[in-house]
Amino acid sequence: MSNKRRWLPEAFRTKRSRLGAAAGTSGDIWGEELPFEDVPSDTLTALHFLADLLPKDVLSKLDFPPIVLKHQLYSLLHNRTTVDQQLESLRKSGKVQVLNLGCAPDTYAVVTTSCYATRVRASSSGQPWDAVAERFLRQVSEHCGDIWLARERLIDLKFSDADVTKLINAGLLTARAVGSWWISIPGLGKFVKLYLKGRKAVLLAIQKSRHHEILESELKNRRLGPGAHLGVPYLLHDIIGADLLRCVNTTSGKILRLVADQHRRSGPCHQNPRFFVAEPSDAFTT
Amino acid sequence: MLRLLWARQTGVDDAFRLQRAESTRRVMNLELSKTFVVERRHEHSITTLDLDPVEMRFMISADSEGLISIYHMNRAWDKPFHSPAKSCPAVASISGTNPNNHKFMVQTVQWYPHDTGMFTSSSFDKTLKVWDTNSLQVADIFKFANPVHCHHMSPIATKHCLVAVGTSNCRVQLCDLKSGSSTHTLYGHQKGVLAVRWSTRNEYLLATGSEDNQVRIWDVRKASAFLFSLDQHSHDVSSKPKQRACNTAHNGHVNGLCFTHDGLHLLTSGTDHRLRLWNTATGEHVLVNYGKVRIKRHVNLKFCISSGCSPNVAFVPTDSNISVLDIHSGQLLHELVGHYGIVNCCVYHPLFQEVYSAGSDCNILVWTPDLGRCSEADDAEDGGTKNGCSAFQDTWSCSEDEG
Repeated sequence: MSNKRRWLPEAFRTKRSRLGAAAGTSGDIWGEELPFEDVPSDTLTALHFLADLLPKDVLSKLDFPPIVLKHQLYSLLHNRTTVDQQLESLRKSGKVQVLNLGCAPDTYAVVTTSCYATRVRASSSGQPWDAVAERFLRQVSEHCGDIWLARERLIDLKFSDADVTKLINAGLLTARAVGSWWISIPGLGKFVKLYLKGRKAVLLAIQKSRHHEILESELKNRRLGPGAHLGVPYLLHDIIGADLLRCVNTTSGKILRLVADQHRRSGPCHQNPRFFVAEPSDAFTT
Repeated sequence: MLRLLWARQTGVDDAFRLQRAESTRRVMNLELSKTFVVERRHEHSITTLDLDPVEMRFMISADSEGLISIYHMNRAWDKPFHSPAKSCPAVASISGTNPNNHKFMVQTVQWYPHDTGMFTSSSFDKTLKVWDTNSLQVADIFKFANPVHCHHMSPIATKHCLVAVGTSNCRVQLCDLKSGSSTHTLYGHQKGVLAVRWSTRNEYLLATGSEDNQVRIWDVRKASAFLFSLDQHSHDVSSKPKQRACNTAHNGHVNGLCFTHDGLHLLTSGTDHRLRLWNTATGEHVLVNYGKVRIKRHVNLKFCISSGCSPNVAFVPTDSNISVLDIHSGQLLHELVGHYGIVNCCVYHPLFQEVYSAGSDCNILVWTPDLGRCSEADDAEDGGTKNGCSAFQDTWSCSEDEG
């Protein structure tokens, strides 16, 4: 019955008005000039936290900015709707650039716009596409925050076919469909390769352990295969956010359990013993 | 409840508040019915259900072998709660003995929105049939070149009688029941159409979902008919007409559509395990994240949305359960567990706040609100709290009296 009490609608809950909580008083306490625009949202904070998890030596070797996957945020913040909405507002205000990773249908990566611009400028300096890339940065990435671009949009922004070819060579655009391109970052392929390898290594380690579950602390201490260059914490956030693992809190710490396995074990038919098919006579005669 | 009744009585609250609060409470407490079962007629996987929209008394079901049954969902209001399970009987069925029976899997059945004298059914045998309910005869047959995935009639239309039909061909056909012929063809999709749905707000507005990952919104009065296609990355929908060709609503086939009761939002489902909510007026993606919902199937998915509740919920068949999701926050509220096989369809009864579901285990299950009225004994055991009766009883140990 405890389940019943949980789902009472708002209308049944009595709302008692608190003294002093009337409109206007809260503003007086904090003052009008509090700079709410500068306070980072949960999503932005989580982005910075996840970016710091990436090992610096690997990034410097790749010459790559710290990059965060969108679903990694879901492992830190539980309300996915809020994360999506805050990320959308960050994208629209031009603070972050969202990129399609291209390895699975719904995987997106998030980079801060400044890091994105630095990486693009570093990779295109001295190349024949230097001027086009600079114009692309100014017109596209710093203003509209698109994820993909159609041909009509590029024509509006005065990019000719030759320019588009140059942008593809520079690694700023990748093919999506006929007449549309994803926005990308030079050297993304190397990162994706590392990321997929690392994910596989972590999943394999959990699969090999007994009952397909492992303590988080044990996994972090374990020596993984050669793949996990990106660090176990970073990869764990990715796997938990992608709903491949389930966290169970226990007294000795967090247990990580493979989700697919869990569904297979507790089959759907055995969950409700109370249910009984109406006509038992059929079962006896046939 | 008493507080709300008192507030309604004295006129403190508006008229709908009590109704909304109570129906929300009932929807949140849905459980498998202990008192009602639906007679078992089907031997094969049930693919579709429909409740008649006028009186909500009759329900049609159809299965993968072409059998169609009609049930009378009689409600015995005078029965006490502990009476044995009552069966909702099948009053009619169209089986293999009927010469006009569908040959293959029936994908969709729908009552005529204004009367129970007529219903429509479409099947993989490339036909859409219009049936006379009373004589169980076919009144009209529409034939197509491809298997029919889905059809829908507008629930609110008063000025037209069009049935939108989606086949495995990329064209959407509109069949007029008055003239008995196909009047419009809507071009635009590149692959087969898995879902069609008329708006519940505007009688000329049609939404179609297709295997090319697109959801298109049409106004059938316009010559070109096409209004816009939905884009998951929230591009400006009205900016460029040609850009729409690249818009995608999902990263997989779009297999289900459902308008909310007020018609302001559209919920779509796709084989990429996602549900998405859209604003039907602007075509914007309302960024609600429902997480991973296991809905990977390449036929039309029939899910439903409750009406008149204060957070409205969607009932979505996921494998052998039905997920109950808050449509505006995206939170998974609970799962209805009880089917022995994959659930194919569910319908919502807006007056009793009940859900009927059916699936490949050939059962039709009734989910009724369980408000704990008949399980006070369980309550005391679970929570360890004393119920009202025991509070007044004498709990004094009587060992001394005996001795």
